Amino acid sequence: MALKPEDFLILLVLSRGERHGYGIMKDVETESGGEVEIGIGSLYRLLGRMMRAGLVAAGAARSGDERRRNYRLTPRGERVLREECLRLADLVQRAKARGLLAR
Amino acid sequence: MRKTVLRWALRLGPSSFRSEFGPEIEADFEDGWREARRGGRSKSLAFTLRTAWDLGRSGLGERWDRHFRRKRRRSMIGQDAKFAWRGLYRSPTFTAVALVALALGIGANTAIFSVVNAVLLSPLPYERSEDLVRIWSAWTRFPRGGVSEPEYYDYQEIDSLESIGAFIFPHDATLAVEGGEPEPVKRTFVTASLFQVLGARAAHGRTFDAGENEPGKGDVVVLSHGLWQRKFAGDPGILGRTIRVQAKSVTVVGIMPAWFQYPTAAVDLWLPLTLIADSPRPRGAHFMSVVARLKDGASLESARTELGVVASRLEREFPGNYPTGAGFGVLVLPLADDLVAEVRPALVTLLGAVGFVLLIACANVANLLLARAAGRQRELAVRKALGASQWSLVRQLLTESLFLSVLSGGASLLLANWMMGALVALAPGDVPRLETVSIDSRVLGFTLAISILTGIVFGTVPAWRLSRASASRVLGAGLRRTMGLDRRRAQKTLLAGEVALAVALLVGAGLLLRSFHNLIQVDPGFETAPLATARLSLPPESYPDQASRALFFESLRRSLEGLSGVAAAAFVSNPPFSGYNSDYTFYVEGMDSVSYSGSEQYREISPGYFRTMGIPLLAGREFDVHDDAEAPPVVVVSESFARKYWNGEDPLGRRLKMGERQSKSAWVTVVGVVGDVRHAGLAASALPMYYRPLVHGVEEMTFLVRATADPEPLLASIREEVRKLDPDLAVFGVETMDRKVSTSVAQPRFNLTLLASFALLALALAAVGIYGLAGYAVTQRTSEIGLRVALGATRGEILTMLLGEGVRTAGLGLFLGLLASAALSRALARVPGLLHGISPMDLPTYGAVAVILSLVVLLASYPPASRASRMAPVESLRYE
Repeated sequence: MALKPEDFLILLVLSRGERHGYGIMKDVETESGGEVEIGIGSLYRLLGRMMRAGLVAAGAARSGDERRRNYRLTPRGERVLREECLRLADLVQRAKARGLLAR
Repeated sequence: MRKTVLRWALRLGPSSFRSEFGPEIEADFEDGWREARRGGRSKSLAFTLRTAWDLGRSGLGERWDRHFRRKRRRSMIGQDAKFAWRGLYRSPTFTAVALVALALGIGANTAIFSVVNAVLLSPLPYERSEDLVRIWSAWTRFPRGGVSEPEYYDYQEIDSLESIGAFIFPHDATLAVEGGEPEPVKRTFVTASLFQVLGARAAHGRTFDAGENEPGKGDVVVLSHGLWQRKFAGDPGILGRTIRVQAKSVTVVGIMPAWFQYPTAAVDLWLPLTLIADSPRPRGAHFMSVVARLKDGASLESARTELGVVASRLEREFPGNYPTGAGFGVLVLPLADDLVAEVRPALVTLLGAVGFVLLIACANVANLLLARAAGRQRELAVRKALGASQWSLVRQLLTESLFLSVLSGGASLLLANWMMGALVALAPGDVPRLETVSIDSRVLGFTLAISILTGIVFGTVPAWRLSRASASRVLGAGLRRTMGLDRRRAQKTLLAGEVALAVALLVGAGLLLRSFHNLIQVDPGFETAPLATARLSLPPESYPDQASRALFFESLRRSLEGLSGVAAAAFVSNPPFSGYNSDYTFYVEGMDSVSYSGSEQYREISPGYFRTMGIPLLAGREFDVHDDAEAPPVVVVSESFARKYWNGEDPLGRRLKMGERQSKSAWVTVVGVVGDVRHAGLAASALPMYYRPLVHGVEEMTFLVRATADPEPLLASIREEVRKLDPDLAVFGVETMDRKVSTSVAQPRFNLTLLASFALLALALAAVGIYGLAGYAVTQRTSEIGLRVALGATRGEILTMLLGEGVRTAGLGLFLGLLASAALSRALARVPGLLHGISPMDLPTYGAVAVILSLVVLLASYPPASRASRMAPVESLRYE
């Protein structure tokens, strides 16, 4: 099952370590080269969905900034991310084999 | 501004989303806004708008998602229900049998509960009815006696009581309205305070003033709603008009609302009870019934304690009225408990018994479900192999049983409605509030609750067993034999339980049957047939003195004796089985102190009473016409009275006097001894009695007419004779003594009928269960049977083998049931008035139940076994 681009990017950002919501938003923007911008509402909706699916977990409130929580990947999230990467790599591999990536 | 926008945008999403992520979103929004702000005002505005849009969109999206998630959960339930319906539809026989068994079980429970609900559970219709209490005089031999006027004044001083009222138990009276026939009515005399105690106001007009309880002021009357409708067509113009009650003119001052029916539903009118605080009636005349209301904050206990103190004070002050041996005390009971005290034990017992019936029905249906499971094992195993969890299978199976039980619950309401009608018709007339029995919301709730509970009870075991079946075991070969054992054990356990419950019910019913038989065999002490009775109440207005009353009664007696078909006629102040008692203090000559113990009964009778009643005269003579007011005073005593006071010696010629030892009343000489009579009913013991000629001048008398043949035609002639003598008199309670006796055992007959029906129902259900199990066992073992026959087993051997299983199981159930009965019937014996003259361990009953049950077991398991044993071996081998 393929992940949506936003989901994939969020998982990717979290694979480098815990982030709070705003941090995820900024990193997604950077990671996608400015192509994917996630609105605040959409971000938390996606996070909520991924938490229910057990891919992402929320930590306790951050010290110094009580309103925010850090999010991190769960082992299951890591596995899903790895599988998605493999799937994408496989697709890229096929594309290469057909000479689509040749310059 | 931006914060408002944010809040509104957030509001579009579900609240759970807001509460989970709200603070974070706010923090992020502020960070983002500050960053955008660095790029200028337009940038920050764009950011705000973009974020608001995004928030609103995702909020709505979230709402949609959640709604959808819920719907999916719902549709899963819908699917279970659809499966359940399909499953039931596909096996109509199973469904029909299960439905009938459950509907009968639930319906019977609903019907009994509706009676329990109306009679025992519903609060009384009075204001703060939980604070109302009934006060009785309690004697060792008479646990519930009336209160005398001086006692009533004593009790008014009690601190715990807010108010206290009194009434005289309803009596017959003649109601005459100008231009109408005299009509028999029930009147009751009450204190004005009674209405206040009960918190009852008149629907029209008023109730009484305290002043109207004073002598000479009580010429007013309050009508019941029923009488007002019946006699005066609900015309409010009756207020202020004058009617004649017992030939006395009284003015109608009020009409009570329909719900007010105190002290009984039969009361037609209330009259002021005359109280004379300055010169009250004697302390020994316990003629009043007392109701009181507890003060706010006062408890039943405090009232009991205070009244107990008063009682011991009275015992000290008036040893003549409260002799030490009589064990005087004051009994205080909550009014609601008091009202239903006599029917509660029986009703609760019946509710328990009918619960057994439902349990049997449950066991039956559970067994049917297990039997049916054979065909479904594969279906379930396949679904399990395809990934259904055990829980989802259990859920589906439970949905099925719940579906079945709730469906039966619905059907049972129809049945309950019908049974309720039968119950009310069958119930003895003196059960209070029986007329309010209906299927109300509480009964509906009860039905729904027991339906669901039933579904869970009979569905759980089969669901669990079935869902546990592992796919490999079931889908592999030989599934029947491997699964069969486990399930068969469950089935046998259920069947044994079912039989045990049925046995317990049968034993209970058997004990009640034997005890009822004993009861109606009891000799009441007189000849009940052919005898007719009728009651008359002479108004003091028309018959002011004893002489005029005696004259009227005597001339009526003579004219009745002159009727053809009449062998003898007599009258008595209180006949047997009337429900009324009367007693007087007396002193027996030669005794140390007081003789009266509170249990001796006093009656005034006419000449020929003993002859008419068929009460044997053991010594001396009856009264005759010469024993009038001028003659020397005489008394006839009963056998037990004579034994009590002149043990073994000749009672004739002995003397006693009315009142206490110091009393100035004349000595009365014993001239005769008669047999004992059970006045209070067949189950009651015969109390010592003494009879006197008409001396006190009682207004109310009951006539007894001994017929030469059928007394039925005499009833009309009695009315006619009374009319001839006084056309303004109404005649009450005209019936045969046989019917009176039969009415007196209505309660035990009701208990017996119900318990017997439950037991029969239980037996039928158990028989169906045994039949089902036997039939099922046969199909299970068909190939085995074929093999055995092929190997040379005879028909008889096969039959024995097949019968053996059912018989062994039922035998175990029978054994357990008899053990349970031994325990349960001890409890039954403790329920007052249920068992009469029989031990709870009555061996003939147990034996009969064992025999009946064994026969039913054999009859029910024989047909399937016999069918199987006749099967040709080839046929049975092919069956697999």
